[in-house]
Amino acid sequence: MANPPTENVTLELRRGVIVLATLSQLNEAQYGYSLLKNLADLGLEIDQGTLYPLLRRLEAQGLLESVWKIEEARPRRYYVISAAGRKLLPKLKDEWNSIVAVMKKMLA
Amino acid sequence: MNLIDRYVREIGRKLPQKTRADIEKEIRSAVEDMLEDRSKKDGRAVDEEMTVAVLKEYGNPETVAASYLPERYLIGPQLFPIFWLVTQIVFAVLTTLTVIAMGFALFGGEPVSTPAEFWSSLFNLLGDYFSGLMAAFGNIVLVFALIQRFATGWEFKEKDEDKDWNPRDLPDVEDVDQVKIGETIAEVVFIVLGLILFNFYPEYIGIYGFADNERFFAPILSQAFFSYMPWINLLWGLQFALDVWLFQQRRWQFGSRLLLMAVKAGNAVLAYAMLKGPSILGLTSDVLVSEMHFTADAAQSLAGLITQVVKWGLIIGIVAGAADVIKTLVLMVKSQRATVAA
Repeated sequence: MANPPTENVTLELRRGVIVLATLSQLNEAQYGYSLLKNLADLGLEIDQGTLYPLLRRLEAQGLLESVWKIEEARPRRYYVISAAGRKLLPKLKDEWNSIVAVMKKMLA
Repeated sequence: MNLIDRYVREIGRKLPQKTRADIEKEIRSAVEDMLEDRSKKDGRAVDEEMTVAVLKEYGNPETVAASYLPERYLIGPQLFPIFWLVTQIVFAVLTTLTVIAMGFALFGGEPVSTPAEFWSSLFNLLGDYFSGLMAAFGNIVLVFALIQRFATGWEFKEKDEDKDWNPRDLPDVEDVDQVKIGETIAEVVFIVLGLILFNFYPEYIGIYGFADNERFFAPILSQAFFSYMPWINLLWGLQFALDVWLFQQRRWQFGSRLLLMAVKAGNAVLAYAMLKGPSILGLTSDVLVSEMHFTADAAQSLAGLITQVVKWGLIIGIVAGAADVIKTLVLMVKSQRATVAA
């Protein structure tokens, strides 16, 4: 087996919160690597293979917007939350809070 | 070409044309950001060793490319149940036809003169069978793969059905192994009557009536039909034994289903033999003229019509026998699944 089951289950658990974490950190435009570092600094480690495709999917769903900028002689793609994303974010936060409350009760 | 170019190009080769350039640009940018960060941390300039380490961290090109693609299937989970059902039915039909063909290779048609010829024809049949299975499987996969590829998003259920379905409309749970006692008893009665009539009173099987104020009797079946009696007795005997067994057990089992399949396949083979062999019909135009006082023309027309009816009756018998074998096979699989699920 490539990964021990514990690692797979943990990854599975985290995958559900990455969308919320990403949307919550993109009130100001960031390029992929800076967002990755930002999330890691806050304690959420995500690999590039998960984050970059996710950013593209969220953009395709209209929850993010992106623009290429030339910085330090190389292009970087900046992502920022869209109007639809801003509308969705409070609902996702409420959902998250209710999940946390339920799980706290369950795991107490 | 440097390592980053090679890496990005390798990923791009696995991506669709439409998004390739954009994703390649983004990956290149991300890799360069990582290298810059690593260079600052390590306090040294970017070199090949550092590039290799960063690219290894970024991931295998195949895995990275796959993360940008939707899950792809040759035959997806939505189509798979139908694909599997079609495959089972086609395989069952091919198997039944092979069994019938084998029956003829062994018991009918041109007799084989040497054991070598016998084995050669048997192996030829098996070879045809397996190549037929492979060809059929390949074609089914091809058709379903094309549906998967070109009918993406094809809904097998209307969206409204998902919302409107009612648990009360669900069919009752089918007990595929339950024996229908009424049918079994009726079948036993008919088999016994048939065995008595055909074996002990064959001379009474015919048409009775009056023509020109004279009683007449016209036999329906020919001597050729009665030459099949040993086979008819064997098949009816097996069916009788099966019915008695089922009456005792009250439930279908693997063995009883296997016996039923053998009987049904035997019925189909027998019907085929009757179709290909001499006429089983005793009601010829001569009999119609001599016994029932028909005119020659009318007798000719009626005899022709009856011959056609018998011919098509036998063809339907062959198809029904094959269909029964398939039906029994499907029930066998269902029963096996239900047992596993329980």
